[in-house]
Amino acid sequence: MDLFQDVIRPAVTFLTRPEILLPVASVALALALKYYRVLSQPKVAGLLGLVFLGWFVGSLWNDNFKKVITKPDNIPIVLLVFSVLFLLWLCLRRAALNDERAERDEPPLEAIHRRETVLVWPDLVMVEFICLLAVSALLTVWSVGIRAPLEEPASAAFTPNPSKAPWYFLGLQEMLVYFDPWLAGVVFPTLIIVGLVAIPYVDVNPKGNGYFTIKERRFSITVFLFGFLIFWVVLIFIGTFLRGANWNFFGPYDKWDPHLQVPLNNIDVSEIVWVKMLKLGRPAHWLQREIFGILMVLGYFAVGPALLAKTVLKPLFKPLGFVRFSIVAMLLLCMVSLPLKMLGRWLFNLKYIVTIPEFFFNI
Amino acid sequence: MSKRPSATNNDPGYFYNPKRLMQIFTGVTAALMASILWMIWADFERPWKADQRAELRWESGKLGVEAMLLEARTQADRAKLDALLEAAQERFDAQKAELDKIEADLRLAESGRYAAELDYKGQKQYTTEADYFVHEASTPEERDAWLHKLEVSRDREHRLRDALQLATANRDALLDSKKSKLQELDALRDQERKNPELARLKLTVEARKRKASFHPARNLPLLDFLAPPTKVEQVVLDNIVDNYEFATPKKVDRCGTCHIGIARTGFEPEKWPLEILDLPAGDPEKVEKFEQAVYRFVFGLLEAIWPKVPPDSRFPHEDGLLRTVAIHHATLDTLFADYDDSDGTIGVDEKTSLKVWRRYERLDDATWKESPKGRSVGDYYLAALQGMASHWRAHPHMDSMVGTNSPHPYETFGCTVCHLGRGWSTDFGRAWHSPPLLTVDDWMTTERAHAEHRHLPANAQMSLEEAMQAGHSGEGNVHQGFVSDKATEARWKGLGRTKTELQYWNYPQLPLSLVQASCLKCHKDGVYASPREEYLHAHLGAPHAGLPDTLDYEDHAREFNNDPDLDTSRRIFIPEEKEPYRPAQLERGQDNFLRFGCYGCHKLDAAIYPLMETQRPKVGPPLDPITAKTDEAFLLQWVYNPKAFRPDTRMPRFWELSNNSHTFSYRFAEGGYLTEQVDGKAWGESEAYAIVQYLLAQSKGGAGGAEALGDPKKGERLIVGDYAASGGQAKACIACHDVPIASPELKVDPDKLRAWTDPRTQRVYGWGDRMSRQHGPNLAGIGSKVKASWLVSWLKDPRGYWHDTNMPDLRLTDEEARDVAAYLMTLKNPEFEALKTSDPVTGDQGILRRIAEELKVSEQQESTKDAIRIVAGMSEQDRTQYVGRKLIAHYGCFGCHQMESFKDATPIGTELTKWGSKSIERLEFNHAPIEHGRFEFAYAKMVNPRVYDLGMPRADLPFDRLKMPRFDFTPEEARDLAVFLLGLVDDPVDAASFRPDAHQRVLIEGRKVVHRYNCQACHIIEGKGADVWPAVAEAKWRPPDLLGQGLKTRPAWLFEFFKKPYEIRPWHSIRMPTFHFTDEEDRALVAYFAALSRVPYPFEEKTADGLMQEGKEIALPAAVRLKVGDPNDRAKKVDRSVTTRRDMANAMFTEYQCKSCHSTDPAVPIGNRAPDFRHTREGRLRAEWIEKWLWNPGKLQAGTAMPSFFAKGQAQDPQFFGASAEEQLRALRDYILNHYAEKDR
Repeated sequence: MDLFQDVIRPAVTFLTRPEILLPVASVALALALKYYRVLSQPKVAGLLGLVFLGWFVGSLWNDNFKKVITKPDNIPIVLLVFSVLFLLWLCLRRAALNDERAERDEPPLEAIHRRETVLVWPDLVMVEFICLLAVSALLTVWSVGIRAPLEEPASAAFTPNPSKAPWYFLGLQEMLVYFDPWLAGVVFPTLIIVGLVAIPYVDVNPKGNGYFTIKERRFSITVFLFGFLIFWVVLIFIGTFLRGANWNFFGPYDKWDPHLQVPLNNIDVSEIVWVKMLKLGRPAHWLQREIFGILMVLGYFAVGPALLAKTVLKPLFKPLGFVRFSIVAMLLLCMVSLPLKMLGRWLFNLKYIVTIPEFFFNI
Repeated sequence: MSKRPSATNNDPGYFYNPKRLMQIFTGVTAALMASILWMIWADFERPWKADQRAELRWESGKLGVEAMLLEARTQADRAKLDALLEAAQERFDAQKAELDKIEADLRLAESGRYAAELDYKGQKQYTTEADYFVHEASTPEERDAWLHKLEVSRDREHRLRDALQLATANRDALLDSKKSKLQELDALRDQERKNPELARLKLTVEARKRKASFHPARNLPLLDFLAPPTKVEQVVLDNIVDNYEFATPKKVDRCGTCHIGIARTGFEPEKWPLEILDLPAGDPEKVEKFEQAVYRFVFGLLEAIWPKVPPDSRFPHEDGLLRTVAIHHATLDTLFADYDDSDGTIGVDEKTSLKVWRRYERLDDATWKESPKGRSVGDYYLAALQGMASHWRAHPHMDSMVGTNSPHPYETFGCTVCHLGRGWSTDFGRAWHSPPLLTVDDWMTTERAHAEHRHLPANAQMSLEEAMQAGHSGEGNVHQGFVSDKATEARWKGLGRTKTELQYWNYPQLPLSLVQASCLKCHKDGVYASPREEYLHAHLGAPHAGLPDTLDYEDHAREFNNDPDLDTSRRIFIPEEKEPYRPAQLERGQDNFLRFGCYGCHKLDAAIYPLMETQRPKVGPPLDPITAKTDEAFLLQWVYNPKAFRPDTRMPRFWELSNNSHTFSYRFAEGGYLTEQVDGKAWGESEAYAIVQYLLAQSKGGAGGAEALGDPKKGERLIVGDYAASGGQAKACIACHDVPIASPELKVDPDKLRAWTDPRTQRVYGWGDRMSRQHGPNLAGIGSKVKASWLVSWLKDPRGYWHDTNMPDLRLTDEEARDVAAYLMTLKNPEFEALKTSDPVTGDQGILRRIAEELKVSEQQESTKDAIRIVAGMSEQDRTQYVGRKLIAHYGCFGCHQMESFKDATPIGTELTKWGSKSIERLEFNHAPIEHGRFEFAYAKMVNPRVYDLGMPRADLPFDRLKMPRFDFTPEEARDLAVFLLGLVDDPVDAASFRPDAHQRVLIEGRKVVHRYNCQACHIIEGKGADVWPAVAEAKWRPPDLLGQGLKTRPAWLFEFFKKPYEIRPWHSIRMPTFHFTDEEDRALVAYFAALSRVPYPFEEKTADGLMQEGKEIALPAAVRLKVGDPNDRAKKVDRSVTTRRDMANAMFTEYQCKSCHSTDPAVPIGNRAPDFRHTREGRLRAEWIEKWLWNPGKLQAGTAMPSFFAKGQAQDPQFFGASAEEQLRALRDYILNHYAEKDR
């Protein structure tokens, strides 16, 4: 039996499929936030890190993996993956230490190190100068060692395959697979900014300022990390390493074959209801045709906040008040709609919940 | 976290440990310094820079050695010239004192004059000033004051002017008196400069020496920006652009950066002298300098090209430098051992190198020690020069490509126009260099291919190999015909270039063996260089050449080019020592494309490719009258597998191929009734059966009756075309057909028919590439194919059966036709006959029903249920007819065969007009483990057209499978076709495209007709052809060489002759058949021959009656007395008195005995030595040609029996026309042209 061909390769290919990777990553993050005290212990985290590093280095022996990883375009994303993991560990670790201290009624670590002033010379200028030199050296080495990923002059006749957005937009590009462009390209990015702007206004929790903690801000940290790590970084990861020719999905060890055939038989809610379930055929008028989808969407946003206030987010309703809570709930529902729609796609081949081509309106 | 010295909030103590900070700072600074040094080094060591430095080292060595060689070789000349100089110098020295004195005096006089001039010019300024203020003065007083000043100044000025004149006169007088003396001395002093020979010699040597001086300082890292010896060499092409759809920037090629000698004369390997220098052994200093130059030179080469030379053999051993060179040679020798030249595919460069290396293999230790040192140095110099097997060389076809005088100069065409790749890259990998082609064998078995195709079925590779190999019934197999050079590929891969990457550039460089494809970009007519013949003929007709006494092309061309008034654009192209470059693969590929009728299914836009005439006839015979030609039993076997009857037939096979040969199961789209296993052979046979039944039912040919046949022995002789054997009547079918000859005495050595050498001119004739006998079908086994009655009628009138056939009317009598048919009917194919009974092709009605149902569904008009119902309702016959008709439409039989019922059908194949530009990603390789490249795709498709169905689900559905039939191309045919396809690119080179002028257009059109009717099977046209000649026993019986045909015959006559040929030389054994040219073809041919000879067409010179004037005979000055031979007894001379030009011409005609060979009298039987003069009556000959012919017949037609009466430019018999050769020629010409015409009047 060939360990790589028969075990590792199928396993990794399975794990990295988007419909597996996203839930697995979400569960992993949830677990990490739950058991952060155990996981962030240097020995545990170090072991996990070594396993990951071992897998990464070992995989370089695979030609296709190496080709994707060492592509000059992708080097920053490799650095991103490692630095995000490291920083995540660092935060968890500091939070764990602080939370332990808090239980012992000790001030957080940051409070011990707090200091109002430092000397410009040498404390500030020297450090800045060292950083300047170090970054210069790094950039020099990088630009000599890895060639600029320049391609041929753009031609409308021969577009590159796959055509990829800049790395920081790959999350958006991945969203385009599941949502109509006006949602994935306009509404969601706007909501992201609006949501970030809203944070100071909806955050009434006085604790957790200026030091690492999880215990005291569990809700906001969880929401933020899901939004940033799962729906942004992981999507960039998928877009960079797993989306190949024709924007098809490829496992880390697969060759990006432009001739790969993938069935695309997605259907809309109206088709599921009218055609498959009721076997009546789709009505002609859009309102009648899409009524179930429209009700689903309206129901989601109308009933959703109330439901949240009664159940999961009950402890938040009171401190926030009605208006703040409504805003938070709406933003949260919008964010959660992304994985929900993805699940719909993976489980039911769902294309659109509401599709009204008459008005170029799709959800 | 650093240790904090202070912990209180407002303490201004250090936050970080200063010592630690300084340490970090030092470390970071060192790192930055190191990275910057690395950057400098990386820039310095960029591959193209390193390469250019190596080249410079090598070139400086080369120039140094050349300078020394030249110095040594010209030593005597220079010594002589130096002696002259020395004498002059002595005389000069003797008078040196006198010269010095004169020069001193002159200097003195001149300085006096100059001082006077300064004074005078200064005073003039004051005068001008005073003059100004006189006019501008505001008060009278002021004005008066200035007036006074003006006068004074004027006075002084005049005096100074006089002084200046005096000084000038003084100096001039002195100069005059010494002038002659000075000139004499000057001449002595300038001796060196004025001696052009010496100047040239010195200049050459000095220039080489100067160039050879090599400044390593200029090449130091970071200093090399001051005066960089290395730089990017690029050409920007004005007329050729890259196409990015919305932008078309000019093409930029930087290939010259590394291919540094590509367009430089002196860098052509074959031009380097292969001689050995004897260095003066007694001059150790010189020898040492020489050695150093050789060292640089040889090592420049070695270090640049062969980085694999082991480092420990790179430095001088104890024996010194030369020994090291020998070691290197041995190393190189092993490197070259990888090359196997058995198939002749190694390039010129490698061959040259091989030759040189082998020369030195013999130089073992003992020989080495004995050989004189200097000589060996010279030897090695040359060895290294010759061995420069690299990119520093000049282009191997400088005469045709890249060279300044070639039709495609480097500055105008660059490199990537033809070679493709990315011109603006200076990096080996990114310029998209392509390694040499792999063999098909390699493609199929590379592990890489398997690893990359994760969807590949487990046993797919085996079945592909089977598919590629088994069933290839043509000659050889797919493994032949390619260079397998894994070592080179590995080396190239090491340099960052592999073929599997499909990114950034749609046009990777073509491997050298395919580069001809690019010619098609500009030469869309498919007309290529054959200037030699063209200009040869041009000289026959060129007005400036007068009467040529030699037809040597290059001599004339040189003479022509030397004309100082000649416009340079009209210079004649002279290929030096070798034939002009000819893209033979592409020509053959194009020929194959037309010959195999690829255009029947695949459209090629005739608006873009003029070689595709819009109404090009189909390549196969019409099928409507098929019953007249053959019978059902034959058709069944033939349609099912034509190759079983004759492996070399052009008819392809459709069944028993890799996607329908095995037992396979069918999957029906919906409904699924057809799930059982069906035998592939039975299915295929049933398809063939239905097609044949349909053809027979549609045929209007009748059944054909019994036919009495003639004598096969006579027929055989007619076929061979041998005069002696056939008793004077021959048809030479073997000019166009391969015919098995039974009688041993008639057989011709097939090698002779391939290419043969004319013993007189040493010229090689014959097609060489493809034998003309493959023009028509091979007639082996024809007796098993056709009906005798059809054969007789076909031979008598081919166009009656097939209007578009190329087969000419042979003008056979009934008896001859029956004789030929009798012989042909004896040619049987017994194996094939046996097949009819042992393995008959039959239709299975059960399978036919299924095929019909499948077809009904695939029409997408019926549901499965309906299809089954409808088919069940058909009668057996109807069903067969339905299936037959549908299958003909499906397989596109009408692409090659005329069929009335499919006359409006459209071609079924992919349009190929822009195939070569198709993105490689859009080619459907599917699971075929073949490297992804355009050539690889096309080649594998030619070899096995169904290969891309391998492992595809759609192959389960019988009518979704690939359907291109298998032609069983030989590997060469497949490769040539693929090269042609590669050339079909959509590339904006219009501005640089080849646009034939009127003359070239005529040549192109003419060549098309010549090619279509296989004229070169019998005649030599443009120096090519006459395959049939060796089959004819005697030279004089052979069809004529058509050299100078346009000059010889008049257009009107030639036009009529092509329409209706008749006998001009009755002794020839092969008669020109009647081709039924259309008027257009006929005109194209006539114009073509005129153009080849560069004579005006359709106009011709007026041939006035040179014997008469205004109805009267032209009188000679006075009655002239001649002594000419008595017509009855030539030895006896008689006195004759002539008064007119006609009489004298007549006497000359008799005296030169023209009639003894050329028959003139209708009553006299036609002789067998020379054409009858009576043909002049029909307006056959051009007057100009008669003169040239008489002047020197041997030059126009090598080996002719016609004697020359004007050898060495002198008239043989001086008594006519005052011994003037020109007058005599003209008189004979007029006599021949007019005499017989007049007799008829």
